[in-house]
Amino acid sequence: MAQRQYGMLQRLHQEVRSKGYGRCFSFNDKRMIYVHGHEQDFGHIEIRWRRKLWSDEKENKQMFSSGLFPLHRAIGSLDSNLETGVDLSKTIRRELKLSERDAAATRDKLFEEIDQMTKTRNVEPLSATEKDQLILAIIKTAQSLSKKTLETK
Amino acid sequence: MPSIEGKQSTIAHLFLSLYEKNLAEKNVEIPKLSRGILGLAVNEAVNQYVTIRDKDPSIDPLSVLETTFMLSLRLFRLKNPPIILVRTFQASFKTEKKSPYSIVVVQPSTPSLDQYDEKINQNGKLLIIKKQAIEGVKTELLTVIKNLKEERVDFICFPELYFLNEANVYEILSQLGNEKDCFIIAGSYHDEKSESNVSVIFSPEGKWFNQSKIFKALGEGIKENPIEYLNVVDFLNGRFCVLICIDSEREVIREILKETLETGKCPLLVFNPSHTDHPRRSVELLKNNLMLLLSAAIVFCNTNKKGGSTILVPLLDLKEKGFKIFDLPPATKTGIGKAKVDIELLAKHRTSKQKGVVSMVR
Repeated sequence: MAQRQYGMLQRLHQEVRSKGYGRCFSFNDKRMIYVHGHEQDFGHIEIRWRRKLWSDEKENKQMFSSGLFPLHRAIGSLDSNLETGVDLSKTIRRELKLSERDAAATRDKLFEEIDQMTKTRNVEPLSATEKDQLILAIIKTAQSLSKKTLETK
Repeated sequence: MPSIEGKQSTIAHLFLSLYEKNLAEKNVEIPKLSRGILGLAVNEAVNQYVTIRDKDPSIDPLSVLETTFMLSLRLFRLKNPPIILVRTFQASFKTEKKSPYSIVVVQPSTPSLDQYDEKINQNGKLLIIKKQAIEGVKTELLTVIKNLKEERVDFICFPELYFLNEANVYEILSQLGNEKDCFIIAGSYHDEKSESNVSVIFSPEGKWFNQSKIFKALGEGIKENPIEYLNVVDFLNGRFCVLICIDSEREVIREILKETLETGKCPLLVFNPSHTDHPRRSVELLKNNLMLLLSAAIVFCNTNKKGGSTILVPLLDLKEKGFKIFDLPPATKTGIGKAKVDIELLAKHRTSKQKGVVSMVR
């Protein structure tokens, strides 16, 4: 188990490095990761970086209780992102900080709106995968627009 | 203005929540009006995508969406107001200065209108101070600075199109701001490169930042961007912002400032560097649009050809001449108007007005 996780961490590490954003670490006991970089570049992986964590025991405790994610969860979602496509409900749930039920309802509503648009425009309806792709594109556009907006001014 | 109120689509909500998340970290807010326009643009982009995809199913949603979204924003900019983001800066006086603050309005004698070169571009014309007039402007600036040396000054405002975009002028003004521990609203200039009208604001720490003009005046050669910033400076005891010329007259800006009033982040001081032939009209609009609406002091600074520079305050005990503290007449010599404005009193007045305790003066 430990070896498998170490392998996953290595892969995550490579992925992070290949994008040019710093390093990731693991806490052996808690199996947490910390990555130095821009959150939006990693899609749905929650990334935090606090140098203090390594030296400040008090803050460590605070961070653990503030809901930083365990390593296997992060690796799992990275894997699904790389290999099998992203679970849209999970992404929505995390990005908008919604409950599982609300995230699923939001996804359904988004699908419904897209269906309505194709219907109004009298064009071929989109398949579920296409709708997934479209919504992920909306998410990426929002993230890149905010980045661009802040950079250009 | 089209109606953009009402229930937002889930698509727009998803988009805006994510867009806002990154901006919030940098102290940038999206007012209600701008949220509405962004929401419409993303809906439009998705609509465009489903139509294009019908013709070519292999098309990449991300590339289509990004392009059509930006295109929609530009189209909305043509028909409607731009997306205005409110950004807050923190800057304070070096020493502990308390209200009332001393505000100086300078109505300089140079450059006169014939001392500008007209540069025509696709948007209209830009006014650039002629090379032979530069020395005169600099000399006058130094004289004004010399005259202000002895007294307490907290804010100095110059008119629109007065600023010289030269390295040593930046040095002179940042040094002045630092020495006198004051904010300087150094008028504005037409920037040929970016095709914009930029006002430069110097802080007491000697730093500076820009505020671009958001709306172009008739025939003015500035570019209109789909996304614009309204900068608000938080100087601990209050807030101020700079609206160049006609920006102060626009309904959208008024609505956005009204929104900041609700969130308690509304400026108490609004500087309006102008270059207008109709100061009376401008002052009347400023009075009704901003002063009475926001319970804020408005500093109107015009060129000395038509004069009319003034400070407007909404309180009885602060005004001498109607709602104006002073009124600089048109002149050939440089005019300087000074006044003390009690920001704390204005803040109290605003709070009591919001609670409905005190009614407005007029």
